[in-house]
Amino acid sequence: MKLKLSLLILGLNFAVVLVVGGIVYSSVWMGKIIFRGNTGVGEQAGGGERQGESTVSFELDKKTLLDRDKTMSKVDEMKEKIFKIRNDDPNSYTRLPESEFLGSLFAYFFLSRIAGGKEVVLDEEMIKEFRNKGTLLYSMDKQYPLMKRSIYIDRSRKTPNKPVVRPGTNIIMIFVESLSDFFLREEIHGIKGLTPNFRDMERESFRFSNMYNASFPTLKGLIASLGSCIYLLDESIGSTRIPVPCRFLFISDILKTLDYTTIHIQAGSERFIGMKDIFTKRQSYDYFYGAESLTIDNITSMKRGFGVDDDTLFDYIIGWLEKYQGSRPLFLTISTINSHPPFKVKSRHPGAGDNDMLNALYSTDRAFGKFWNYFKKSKYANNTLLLVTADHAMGNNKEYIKFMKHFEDHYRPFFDVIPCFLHFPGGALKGVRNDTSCNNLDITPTVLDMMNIDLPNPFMGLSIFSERPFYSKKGGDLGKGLELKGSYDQKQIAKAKKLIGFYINLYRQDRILPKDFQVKLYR
Amino acid sequence: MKSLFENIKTIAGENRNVILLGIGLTLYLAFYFISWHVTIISLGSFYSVLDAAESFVAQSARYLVFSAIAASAVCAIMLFLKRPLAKKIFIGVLLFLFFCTEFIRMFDWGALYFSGNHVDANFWTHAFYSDSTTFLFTMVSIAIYLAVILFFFGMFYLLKQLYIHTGNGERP
Repeated sequence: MKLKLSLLILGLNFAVVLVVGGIVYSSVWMGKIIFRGNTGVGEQAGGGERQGESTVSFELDKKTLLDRDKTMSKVDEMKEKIFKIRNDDPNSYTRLPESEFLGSLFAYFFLSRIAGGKEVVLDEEMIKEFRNKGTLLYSMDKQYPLMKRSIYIDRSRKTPNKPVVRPGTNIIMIFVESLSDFFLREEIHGIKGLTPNFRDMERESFRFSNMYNASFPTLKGLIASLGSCIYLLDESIGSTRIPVPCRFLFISDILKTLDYTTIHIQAGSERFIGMKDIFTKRQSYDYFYGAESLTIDNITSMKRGFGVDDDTLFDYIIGWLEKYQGSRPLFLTISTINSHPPFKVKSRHPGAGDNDMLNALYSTDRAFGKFWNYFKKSKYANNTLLLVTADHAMGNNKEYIKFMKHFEDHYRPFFDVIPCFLHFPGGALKGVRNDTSCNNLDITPTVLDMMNIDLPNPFMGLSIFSERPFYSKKGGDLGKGLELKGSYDQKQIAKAKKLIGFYINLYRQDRILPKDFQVKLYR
Repeated sequence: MKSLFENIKTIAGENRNVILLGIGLTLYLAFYFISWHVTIISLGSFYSVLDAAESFVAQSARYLVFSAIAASAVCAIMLFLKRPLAKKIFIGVLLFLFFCTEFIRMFDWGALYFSGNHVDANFWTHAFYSDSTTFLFTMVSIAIYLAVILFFFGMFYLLKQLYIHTGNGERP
């Protein structure tokens, strides 16, 4: 009886699934006819109509960028296209989740330990292309392709004609949030006195007048400047960016071996993308102070936006420098925040009207002014290299668009010329200008070059004084800012995918620096 | 032949509830498996089910066959098990297995929705950063939890009914 009942249930279940299967099949078949005009389910093979697409094109010109709504719509469209290029397989959504989950778990915890993960190796032609642009790949270690023996591509190119910074000199680097060089050019934008303190420092300093930012946003800007590396991963889960998975060679790692005290102070949160951990656990920083630490001094400074305001930041820095009695030289990096949307406006400039971005820049300038006036008279003035630059150019926010509508020729959101002023100890080389085309990847190699420090490294930048003449970055689209127009065929897309895969694999597998890398300077 | 039909009619008449529960379990499992793919394609991708029609139909067919066999096997085992404790343990094992698939599907659905890829090596690389836990508290995540709970209680209800109707009329 029970056996017969079981067989009956089995038979009926199969009858039911036959009916359901028929419904599923016919629904899909009908859908194909109605929406696609196809007559067979089997005709799709990875998205039927897309098979005819041999190129992917996109267009993002100034006119579009000046309209925020149109820009966002274009960006969404581009994201969709990029997503489809990256994951061009709708069938991936019909795979068995249990198999994906357990397979990846097994591969990650067992196979990846043995095989070292999936690696993308560039071919000779691509390596040669990089070499011609001043990037040496696979010269030391196949597992760590960025590693090279020297900060110079050719060590015979060291030049004696450069400013010299004695090792042991204090170094302070200030990364001003979103400070495009344009905002300092009041003879162009016409708002007199918008950034008087930055301009005063410019007059008193050596200046790289043609430096572009290589990365956007802030964390990537800092990695570019401090680690001479473009970091491409921008992965997020539920709109929260996940921490950086790899270690770089920061200038702090190098200076640490010269017995520097290393400290980073920023107005933003210490926890954002695990920044405190990145700096202190991986990049040899002794101290890291962010909004959480700075708020203890001034709780009201957290008002509006994230982080504390730049007044609180520079007050804290002045206090810290005043108290610092250590005999070791100092390497201090600083990140401001006022000019990050939503802007923190502490002071209003009469010429800026209701534009919060301009008023936030003015507020940062005033806060910096307190520091600059302190610095010039302090015990640090004659034994410190003070470098002021930006983490990156201004983003395409509403206030920027509104202001730049009057200066379309200078409208370059995200990537633009950024200031780079170097105040040498005692004010040496005051007013000297270097017009070499460069970017902030070159900051760390240039500082090391000035200090006559050389070592094996994974840097993507080159010393502006020594190597730059051999690998000029002039020309191309650099000076145009972000204006993208293009159409790419399958071959170009395949090459780009390979290149992106190469870099992303390096970051994900933590293969910028060898695991056992130790800073060893050439004597 | 006539006696066979008479026999089936008699068995079906006497065990109507068990047969309906068996069919219900088949449909429930098939719905559970197939709806996972339909929702992730519709809500979490730039594609439609039609873009993946061939593999979708093939996967659905596999799910349907599996559901029919699994549901029939569950019914048969419940019929043959005599002791209530053994039935309860069997139901516990089934619910545990069902929860395991729910747990896996919950993360894989979320991974596809938030990062566009299945759970992969990159997921595991970042799975244990405390900062990454934020994604567990988004609106979408809460909707996934609700779906997991509803499916689980749906399965629990069906198995409980099977327990009742295969236990010689005794209520647990």
